[in-house]
Amino acid sequence: MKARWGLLLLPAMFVSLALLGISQSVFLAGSLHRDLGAGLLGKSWTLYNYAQFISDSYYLETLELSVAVSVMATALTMLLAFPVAYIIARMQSRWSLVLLATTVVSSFVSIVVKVLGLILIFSANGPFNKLLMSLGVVSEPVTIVGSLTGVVLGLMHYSLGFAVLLFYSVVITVPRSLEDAAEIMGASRIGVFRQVILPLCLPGIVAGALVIFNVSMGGFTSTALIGAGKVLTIPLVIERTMLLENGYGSAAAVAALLLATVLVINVVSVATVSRMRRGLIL
Amino acid sequence: MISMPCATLRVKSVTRTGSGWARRWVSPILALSLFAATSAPSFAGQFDGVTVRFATFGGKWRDIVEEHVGKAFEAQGGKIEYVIGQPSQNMAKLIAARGQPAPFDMMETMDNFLPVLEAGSFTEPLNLKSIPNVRDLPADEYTDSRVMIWATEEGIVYNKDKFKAAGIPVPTRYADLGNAKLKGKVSIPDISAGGAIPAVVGMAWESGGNESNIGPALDLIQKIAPASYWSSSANLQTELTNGDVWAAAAQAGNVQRLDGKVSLGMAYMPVNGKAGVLKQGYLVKIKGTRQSAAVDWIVNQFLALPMQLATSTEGGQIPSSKSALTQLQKDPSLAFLKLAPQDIAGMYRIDYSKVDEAAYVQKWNRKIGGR
Amino acid sequence: MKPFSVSPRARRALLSGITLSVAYLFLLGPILFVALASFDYGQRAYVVFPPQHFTLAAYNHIPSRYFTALWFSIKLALACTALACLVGVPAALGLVRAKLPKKSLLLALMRMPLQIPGVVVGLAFLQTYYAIGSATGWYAVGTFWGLVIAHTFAATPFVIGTLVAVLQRFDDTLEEAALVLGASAWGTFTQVTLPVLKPALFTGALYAFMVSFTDVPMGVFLTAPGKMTFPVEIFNAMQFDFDPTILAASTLVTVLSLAAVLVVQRIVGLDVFVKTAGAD
Repeated sequence: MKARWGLLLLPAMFVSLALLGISQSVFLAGSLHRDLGAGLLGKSWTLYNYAQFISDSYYLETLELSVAVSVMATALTMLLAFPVAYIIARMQSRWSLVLLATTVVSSFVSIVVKVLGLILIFSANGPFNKLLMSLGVVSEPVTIVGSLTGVVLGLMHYSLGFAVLLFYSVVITVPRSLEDAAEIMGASRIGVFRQVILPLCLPGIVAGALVIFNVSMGGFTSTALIGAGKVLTIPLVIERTMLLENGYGSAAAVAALLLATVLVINVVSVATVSRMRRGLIL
Repeated sequence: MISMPCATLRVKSVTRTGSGWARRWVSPILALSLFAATSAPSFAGQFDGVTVRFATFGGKWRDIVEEHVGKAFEAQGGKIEYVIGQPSQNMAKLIAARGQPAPFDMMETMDNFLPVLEAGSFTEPLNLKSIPNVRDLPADEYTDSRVMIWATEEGIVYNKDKFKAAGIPVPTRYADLGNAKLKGKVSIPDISAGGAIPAVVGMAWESGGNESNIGPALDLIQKIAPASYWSSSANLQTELTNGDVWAAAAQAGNVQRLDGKVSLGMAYMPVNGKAGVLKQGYLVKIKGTRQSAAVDWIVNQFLALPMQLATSTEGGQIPSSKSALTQLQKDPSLAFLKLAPQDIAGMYRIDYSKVDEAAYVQKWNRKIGGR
Repeated sequence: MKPFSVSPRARRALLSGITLSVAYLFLLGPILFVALASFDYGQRAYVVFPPQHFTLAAYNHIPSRYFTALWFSIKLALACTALACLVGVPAALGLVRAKLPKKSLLLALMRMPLQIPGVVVGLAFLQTYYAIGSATGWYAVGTFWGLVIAHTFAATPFVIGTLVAVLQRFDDTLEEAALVLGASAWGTFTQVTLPVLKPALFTGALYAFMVSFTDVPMGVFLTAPGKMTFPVEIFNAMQFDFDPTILAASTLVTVLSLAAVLVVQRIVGLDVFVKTAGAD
């Protein structure tokens, strides 16, 4: 039985890995050559680009910033999405459909438009500042453009809708009867959540969290628009190196290191969680 | 031209009573073919069936080009397909296609890209004999490898009303952007924006540096601590109009484009003895194009009066054609632009042989992009 | 004096209400603002909020090429979704069920495309297509299928990720029971596995569609005149001068997707997708 699943996986995995390998190899191969200007690459192989990356603290700081911002965005997204998904999954009324449909519809709007809306809401004359000022909370308008807060909010918009739907499909597989049984046994709501829902949904939560984290690490459009040139995460640095410096070699090296970092974080997270849940095959 | 006969034919077939699809259509078709046969010369434009792929800016600019150049080319039987993108994106497409058929035949580019275009041998010569309108340009603005079609005048745009209300004097130096009353209300171009190099070089000269040494400019920018770094015209214009930004290092065109919405003033900063910085736009022919003659024709159309006038009246830039400049000088609404030849000559032109854009980006990322 | 006490049920309802409000305000706020701003067409150069006039003029001025691009984007996204599911469903099943060494590594590799910045994907595929082109003479740059392949690359991980998340929760003893009782492997799949997977599959497919439909960075490099996608058209329009028709166009898309969802609800009933058989 298990062997048959393996067979099923093979062609699909082959296609996935082929796409990944072929598309990235041409680009990443460039990292082993020096940039000659005008997008040209030197003929000989060299690790010059990688040496630059390692020796220059700038790139490591940028990587640190990217990870920090992505972790923040992931955590906040999950904190918002999981409870929402749970509430919708346990709703008895038809409102659950409306909320899900709304989430679906919101994902069809381009991130460019969503970020524009965010900037509008938080602009100096926008409703957010008008509200804060009228309540006397602040005397000067608060801006999110060019701030880390803004960047995190922008990244959240990439994944929030997806997270809600994903966690919904995870929670819905937990029979309500289980929760009811636990309550009858005397568990409080918190207890039910901690001892029934969380453990059962954990693998799904982790899988979802990693998807959100990965998406945030690669997030470019929203950071470019909200960051207003002040917050430069790795994807922005890569883009600038390619388009403004025509440095395809060094850009490829930075991209390779980004890939490696995220890969390591993914593997380590999964391994840690699986060790926490002895016996669960991941 | 062709639409009128069609209209009359349609009317004919509608008023004709009687059945039969064939009967309805036979006479119009006959009439049409007769018409086409007899008027063949005026239909067969010299560029019948020719499609030219033109890499240029998007948005309203594309509409302007279509109106004053595209339509004229269509009248000759041809068609322009627009490959839209920022110059850096179109440049990346060109680089990726190196050694292979290029994704476009001609490109609108800017002065800072000329060194790369040359180093990478991406262009081929224009046939200046087919571009008679170049004679209307100053000699130093065209060669057979590139023709200048417009320029932008760079300095500081500022919100006249806000400045007056707050009692802030009109800026005379870039450093004036550091005025305490302007804290949090200033925007400087991001290094990826078109207006970046003029602003950075201008600020460098003011602070004791130059094209080879922009450190002083970056220090000045950090001191000014702008609220944002604008990345596109749309971005800047939104900031200027919703009141988030009162002054920005940008080009004069914004004054014209926001006319009626925000009252903007334009101030030209002294740079190395000149007033204001000039940023030039060019047309180049891409190597390997199969529509060489058509490209020459289109370049010529860009230099004709309608398009040249439109660069100012619709884009707030200045044309390269001398006759267009003369005509525009009479327009009082363009008083914020320098249109007299001596004024234009008095603007600073960046020495791109000393500009290392890659180094600029690296320095910028570290200084400005860091926390 | 007894402090004001609320029944646990009411407290729960209040908490739920607040959570939902915050979440949906955040999710929908920007979209609604853009929609409201689209009704003010008086100014051509920037976004006005709050809108000062109410007019549908912006909608009249939407260039026809936006509609062409919209249709192109829909076709592209449908093709991409189909391919992503074709590859993603077996991959997810195999990844969770098969006995494989280094599973966490494989899973991480499957997830990898998610974190590659769109610009890098776009340029990487551009370079790859040119490399393939110089070798075979077939240039995928600026073609429908060139875009489909790149988008599928970016979308498949969403399908795999969602399915894996749910499959890990899934108890396969039910499947084994069905098999023991004589059902075929395919029958087991359709009658036991699939119903449980439906919400996850729907989510994954939806997001595959969304990735393709809203993509900008890949499209910037892989589109060509005549093969333009809707988000790239909007993105380009935003570069030079602000154009209020893009607000109108985006709002139109929102309304269209709302309509699509309502139509699906009428005809098929979304319950089919979101409720799982026997899990409650």
